[in-house]
Amino acid sequence: MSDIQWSPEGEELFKKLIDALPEQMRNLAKPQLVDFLKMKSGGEPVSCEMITGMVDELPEPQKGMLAQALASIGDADDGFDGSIVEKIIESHPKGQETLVAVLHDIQARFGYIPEGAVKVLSQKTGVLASTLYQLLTSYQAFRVEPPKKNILTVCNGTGCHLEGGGGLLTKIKEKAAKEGADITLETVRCLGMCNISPALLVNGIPYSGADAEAQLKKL
Amino acid sequence: MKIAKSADLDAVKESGQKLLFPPGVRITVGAAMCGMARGSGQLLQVINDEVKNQGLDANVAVVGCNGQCYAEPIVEVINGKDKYTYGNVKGSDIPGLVKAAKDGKAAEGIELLDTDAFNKNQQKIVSKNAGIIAPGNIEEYIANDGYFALAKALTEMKPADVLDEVMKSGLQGRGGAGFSAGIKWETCSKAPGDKKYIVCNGSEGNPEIGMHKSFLESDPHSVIEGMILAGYAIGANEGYVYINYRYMLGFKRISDALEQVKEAGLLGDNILGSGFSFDIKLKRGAGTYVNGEATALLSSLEGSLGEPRLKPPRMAEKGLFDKPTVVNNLETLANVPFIIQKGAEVFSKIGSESSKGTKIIAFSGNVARPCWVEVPFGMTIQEIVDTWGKGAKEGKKIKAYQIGGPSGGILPGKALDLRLDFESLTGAGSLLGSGGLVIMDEDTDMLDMAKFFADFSAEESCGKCTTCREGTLRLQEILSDIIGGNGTEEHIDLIKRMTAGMAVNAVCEFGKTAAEPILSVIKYFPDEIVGKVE
Repeated sequence: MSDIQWSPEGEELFKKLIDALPEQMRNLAKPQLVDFLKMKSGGEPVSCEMITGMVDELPEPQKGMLAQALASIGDADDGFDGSIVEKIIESHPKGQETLVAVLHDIQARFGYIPEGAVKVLSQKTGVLASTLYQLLTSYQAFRVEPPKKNILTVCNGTGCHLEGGGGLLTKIKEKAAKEGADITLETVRCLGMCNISPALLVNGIPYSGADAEAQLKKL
Repeated sequence: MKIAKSADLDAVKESGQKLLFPPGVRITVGAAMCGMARGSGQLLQVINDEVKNQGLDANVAVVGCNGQCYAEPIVEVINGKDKYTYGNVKGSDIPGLVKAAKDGKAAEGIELLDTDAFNKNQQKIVSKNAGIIAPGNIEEYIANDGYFALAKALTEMKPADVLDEVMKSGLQGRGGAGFSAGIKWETCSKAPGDKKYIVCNGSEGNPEIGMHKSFLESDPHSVIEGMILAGYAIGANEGYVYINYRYMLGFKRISDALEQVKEAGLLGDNILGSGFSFDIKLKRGAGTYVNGEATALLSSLEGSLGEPRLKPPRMAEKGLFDKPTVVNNLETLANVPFIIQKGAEVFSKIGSESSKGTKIIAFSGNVARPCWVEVPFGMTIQEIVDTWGKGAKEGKKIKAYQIGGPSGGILPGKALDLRLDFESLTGAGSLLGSGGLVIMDEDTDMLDMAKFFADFSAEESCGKCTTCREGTLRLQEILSDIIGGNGTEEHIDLIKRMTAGMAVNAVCEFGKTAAEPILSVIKYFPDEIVGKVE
C-alpha cells in the first residue's frame, strides 16, 4: 500500500473490511480493491465513503461479496444512505408488483434489508412498513439481520436429509457454537444438486457434506 | 440475425447445424449447476487452453445437463460420426482427452459413458436438447428444430387450431394436479375480457427436485417457445415466468435467451408477420413452498404475500390482476412445441391409456445413481429404478420411496410395482406430483422422516387458514413427543382426527395434504410410530 494515501478512519475501515472477507477470497480480493481505490482516490486520502461507495461501482461477484462483508461489520447502516435505496426503487417500474424484485436488489446491495431501507421503501411506495415486514419475514429469501462473515447454506431437502443432511446441520451448529465461528447458517429447501448429497453452499460455492468438513475447518 | 419469415428460420437452422456438427471437432462441457458443483467450471478453462496449445480446430461449447448427474463433470467429444462421452472428468485428464480428439479416437484412462444406453428407454420430448445444445445460443436451438412449431402455429394455424391440438393431445399438467391443459386453456380463451395472461410456474418449491433449474440452465428456449404458443392459443399478449429465487444461473440463462429471441424478432410485435405480439417478463420468487400453489403464485406476482386464494373464481376466469389467466407448470409448457410440431396424434400415442406423453423423473436420496430421465407414462416405478437409479446404494433394500413430493405421502418398497401414471398413483393414495423420486433404504428411520415432513409443513404453512396453521404446529409437537418417548395412543388418534379436519377445511391442497407423510408412516410402518407409544 505504498503510493495509496489513507485517511486514518479509511485505513481502519479498510482493515476491518479485509478481515471481514471470507478467507478463500481475501488474497485475491485485497489487491483488486486496493487498485480500485488507488484509481478512485486519484492521490487524495481514501475516505470511508470511497470504501463503502465501492459497492455501487463494482460488478458481481465483487459487489455481493463486498456488500456481505460491509453488512457483517455493521457499516452498511452507519450513516445509512437512503438515496441508494431511492435509486434502486427508481430503477424498477412503479407498482406493487415489483416489490419483490426491489427487495432482492436492496439485499444484493446491502447483504440484507436494513431498517432504514424499509423506511425509505415505505415512504416512496406508500406501502405500510408493517406490510413490508410481513413480506420480509414470510419470504425465506430475505434477511432482516446483517449476515456474518461466512454464509453457509445447507440443503434441507428430502434427498439430502436421507443422505445425512440432518447430521451435517447439527454438526455445523455444534461446531459454530463451540468455536464461536463467524457464520450465518441458513437452510434451503433444495439446491437441486443431488449428486453431491448432502449438499451445502459455503459463500455461494457448492460442496458436498464430506468435503465441507475440510472447508469448515478453515472458517 | 432477424427472423422475419419462416424461410429465415431454415437459414438459421442450416448455420446452427454447422455448430452442432462442425467439420472439425465439437467439445461440450456440461455446466449446469451440479456440473459446476463438481468442477466443470474450471474444466472449461483448461479445455480452452489445451485446445489452443495442441492446435486443435474445435468448437468448444458450454452445455446444460444430460441427466447423468452421477458422472459429472461430463465432457463430450463429437468428431463427425464419432461421439465420446467422458464422465467424472478431472483437469489432469484434459491433455489426453484433447489429443485423442485430435487423433479421432477414445482417450485412455477416462471413464467412457454409454449415453446411448442411458437414453435408450427414455423418450426425450422436453429434454431432447439438454446437455447437447449451448443454452445461450438460439442458433443451436433452431438447429434442432426450435421455433419451427411457433412458425407453423403463427403462419398456418389459427389460435383455435393450436388450442384444439393441445386438447386432443391429452396433455395434463405436470405440476402434480394433472389437470387437462386443453380444458384450462379453453376456459381462459372463452372467458370475457380484453386482457389475458399466461404464467409459467417455475417456482419448484418442492424439497426433493431441481428440474426447473436444470431446464432453465439447459434449454431455456423451449420454455419461451411453449409460452408464446400458449399465449397465441388463449389470446394473451403477455406472459410471466416465475422462477425460484435460488436459481440464479437459470435466471441468467433464460434472461440471455429472451434477449436473443427479442433480437431475432421471434418475441415482440407482429411476430413473423402474423399480427400476433407477445412479451415475456421474468419474475424471481422469494421462497416458500406455498408460492408454488397457483393462486398463491399470482398473489406473489402482484407483490403481496404468497397466500392462496379460495376458488371459485377460477384463475382461468379471474387470475392475475383479476384478468383471465392460465398458470402452467414449466414442464407442461415445454411439451407444447412438440405437440404442435409433430401433432396431437403422435403425442397421444406415447404413454399409457390414461396418461399421455412423458414425465421427467429425478432420483435423489439413498439412490445408487443420482440422475434424471424422461420416461413415457406406463412404465413401472420398479423398471425406472432398475434401469437408471440402479437401486439403493451399497446394494441395500429399498424400504420406502416418495414420488409426489410431501403431498404424495410415502409409499412402501413393495409398491414399486405401481405404474407411473396419474391414475395408478392417485389410486394408491399417492399422487404424481413433481416426479422427484426419493429412495429410502432399509436403514431409514421412518419416524425421523415423519418428523422431517412435520417440520417442513409447519415451517411452510403460510398461516392464512387456522386449520393448517394450527394443525401443522400440533402435528410437529405430537411427533416431538413421540420421538422423546412420551407418545400415547391418544396422540395417534389425534393425528388421524386432525388430518381428517385439515383435509376438509384447509384453503389449499398444501394444507389438505400436509399430514400425508405422517399418515403414510402410520399405515405402512406402524411399528416405527404406533409401536413407539404407550
